[in-house]
Amino acid sequence: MSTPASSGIDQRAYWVRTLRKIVGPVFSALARAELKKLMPVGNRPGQEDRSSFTHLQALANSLQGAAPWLCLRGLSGEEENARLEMLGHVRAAVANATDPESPDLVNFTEGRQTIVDAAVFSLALLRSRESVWNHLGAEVRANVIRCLKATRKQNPPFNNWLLFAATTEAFLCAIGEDWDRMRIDYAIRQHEQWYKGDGMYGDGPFFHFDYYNSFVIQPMLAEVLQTVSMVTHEWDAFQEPALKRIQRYSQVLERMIAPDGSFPPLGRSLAGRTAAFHVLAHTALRQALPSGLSPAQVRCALDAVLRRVMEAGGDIRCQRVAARRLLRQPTLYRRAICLHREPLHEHRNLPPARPPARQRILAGAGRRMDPGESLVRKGRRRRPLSHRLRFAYPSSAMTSVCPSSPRKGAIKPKPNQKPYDLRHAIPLRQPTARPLEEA
Amino acid sequence: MSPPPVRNYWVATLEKTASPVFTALAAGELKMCMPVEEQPGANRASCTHLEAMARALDGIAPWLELRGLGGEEESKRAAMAASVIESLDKATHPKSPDFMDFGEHQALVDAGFLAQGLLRCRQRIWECLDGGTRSNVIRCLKATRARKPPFNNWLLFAAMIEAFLGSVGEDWDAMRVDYAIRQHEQWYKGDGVYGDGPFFHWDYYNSFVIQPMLLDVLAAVSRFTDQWNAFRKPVLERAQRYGAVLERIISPDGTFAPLGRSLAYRNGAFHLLGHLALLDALPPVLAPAQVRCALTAVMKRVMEPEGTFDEQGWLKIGLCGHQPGIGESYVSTGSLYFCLCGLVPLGLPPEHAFWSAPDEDWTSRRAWSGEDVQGDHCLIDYDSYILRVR
Repeated sequence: MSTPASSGIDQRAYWVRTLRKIVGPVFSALARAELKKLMPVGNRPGQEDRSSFTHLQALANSLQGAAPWLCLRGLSGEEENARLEMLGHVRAAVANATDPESPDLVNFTEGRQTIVDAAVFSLALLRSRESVWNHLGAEVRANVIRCLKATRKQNPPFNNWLLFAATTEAFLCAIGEDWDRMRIDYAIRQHEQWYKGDGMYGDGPFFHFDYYNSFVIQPMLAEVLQTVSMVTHEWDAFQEPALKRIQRYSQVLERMIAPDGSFPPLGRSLAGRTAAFHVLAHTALRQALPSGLSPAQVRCALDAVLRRVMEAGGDIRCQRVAARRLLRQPTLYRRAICLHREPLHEHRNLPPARPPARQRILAGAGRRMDPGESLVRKGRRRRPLSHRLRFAYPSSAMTSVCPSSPRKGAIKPKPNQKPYDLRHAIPLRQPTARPLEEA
Repeated sequence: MSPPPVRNYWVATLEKTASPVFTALAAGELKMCMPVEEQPGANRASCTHLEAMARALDGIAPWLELRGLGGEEESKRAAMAASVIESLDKATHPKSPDFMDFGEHQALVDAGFLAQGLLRCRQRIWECLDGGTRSNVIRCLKATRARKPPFNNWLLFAAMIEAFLGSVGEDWDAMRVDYAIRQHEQWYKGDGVYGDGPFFHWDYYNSFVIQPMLLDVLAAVSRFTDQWNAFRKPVLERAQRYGAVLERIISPDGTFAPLGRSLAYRNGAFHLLGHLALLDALPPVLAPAQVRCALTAVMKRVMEPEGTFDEQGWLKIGLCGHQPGIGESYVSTGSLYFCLCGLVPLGLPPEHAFWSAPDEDWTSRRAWSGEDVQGDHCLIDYDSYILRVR
């Protein structure tokens, strides 16, 4: 599959269409306060009733995925019109979802599941802060904050859920509200103890063959660490290892994508579909892809996955099943995460697309291919330079979390730190500073 | 009853791959004939021949052991068995031109594979060796005791050698077995996967080495001691879970994620899945026919591309054809014969459901054609699980 360089534009148009198709109905219904009326809620027979959570899930997962795009500046034409339209819906949707008088007031108080959904909503608001949160009225903000704080009365189970509690606090921290440091400390330190090696955390004390490292654990850990680093040095030491691990896991995920865009159906929550590649999309969005993965190769790989899960073969029955699942499982909206912030002008300058690693390997005889290498502990094994993880970020790479506009209650950057640039949170390391082999 | 065509394809692949090694070695000409492809300066010529013999034998042993075959397959088997018996003499006789050095570091690994292979074909190969060859083999295996394995999956090679020695009535070192079993218990990460050493790794070593060796070591020693019997149940449960994972990693068209080191071992990545089929111990979620179809699809992807073999029929470094860059510094021509370990289900007779049941799609193929599939469930096998997560 050698895609011509120009196809990035077409792929982007397809991604935008897909995003709008998935999240458009949620935002426009909620903007008219008609989500509860219009969205069908399907429970599998025998499953517990999820109808009290489903509306917040739809909003939070959709906004989590759409947020980076909603914050993108410098678009024009049809895509910009679509973005502005969606933005209008989203602002109204957030207001309606949290207004006690609204028929679409969503549930933030009943049931442990609200810990998850409030956190996803918090992450969505963090990611869309510039274009959504900063434009909400004071009353709406007060409603949102009250709703998020209401989840504190619950205790998350001893697994990846610790990060949900932490993410909600990280958002409160970012907007200058009072925040609970212990909820953040617990999640960060516990996950450090659950680290298994080679870029993988356990979900709880044990390793699991599923995509929760990508759905939740590593993106949330990265966002939490980065957000709190704006106000305190307390957890700075965790940033560099977390970054190395997310980069290694990005590499692993890219290699999981088969030449036909399928991926191993492993573990629970497979209906999250493309959300299995949240980590890969996240590192691409942050322009923090590991060396060895070109952005174009990741775009082509994710595009293949997106088409594989959206188009579900030519079988009409499959399409119906897919459509039904899509309608009934709001968590599916999380798939929209794949759409990231890539300004159009970047597409014009993209290098010729390079097939994903897996296709290069399978492309046939005679090609040289670097072996996949494990992330090994510093100095434990000889590692060719090309396999080292690099930490150079382009400026403005990690900017979407905190805006620069000072407003009432906004946090103050730490002294001697240029705000919002991860380079200051993560010391740059020169590749030559470390001997190749210590042992 | 003639064997199913797909079995003939497997047998043909086995024969095509393994016969250059054993034909040359039986004639005492392996060192002369086998080309040594390797990374520049890797210097693997001193160990590559032992690697070729041990790994090839490990993979074809279950088939060599099979009784009740008939017709063409039996004559192929008998011819191969004769070459193997001759080869073992040539490899371990001190006066042979193909005498192999079991005293070096890498030899510990391949003596481990040799021991596993010999246990797999104990009746029809080991017990058919003459007394002199047997004592030569034993002397060679014991020579590896001079080496200390690094603190990772290599502990199992030392354990496998001792388990074999114990099985054939030789003096054996129980501590080498104990160390490997208990250390891997501590390296267990959850959901059917062990660390390779203290840390988890995204590669196929759980399938190449760790889990098949743990199963075989425990099974072998259980015949003469009961001191590690308590480990057998959790080790099998984990292997079954990882077998289910491996099956799901095989994509609809027979490719699999090229993750981690030693990808040039090709379908050896599915050693554990084949081993479970061979033991008739596949997890309940996997039908034998679906595993056969999945493994056949993989075999076609990795053994058929042009460049897989050179003109003389020796394997070339690569995963899909000839890809020299995919070989690590420790990979040379002999190492590649590990791919035969993906063929261990040939040790099941043609009447077994693995071979006789009608074709069935494997999980990924079903899931990606839109068929409704069962959810995938992680393994909860740890006694302390409830306490640790609640």
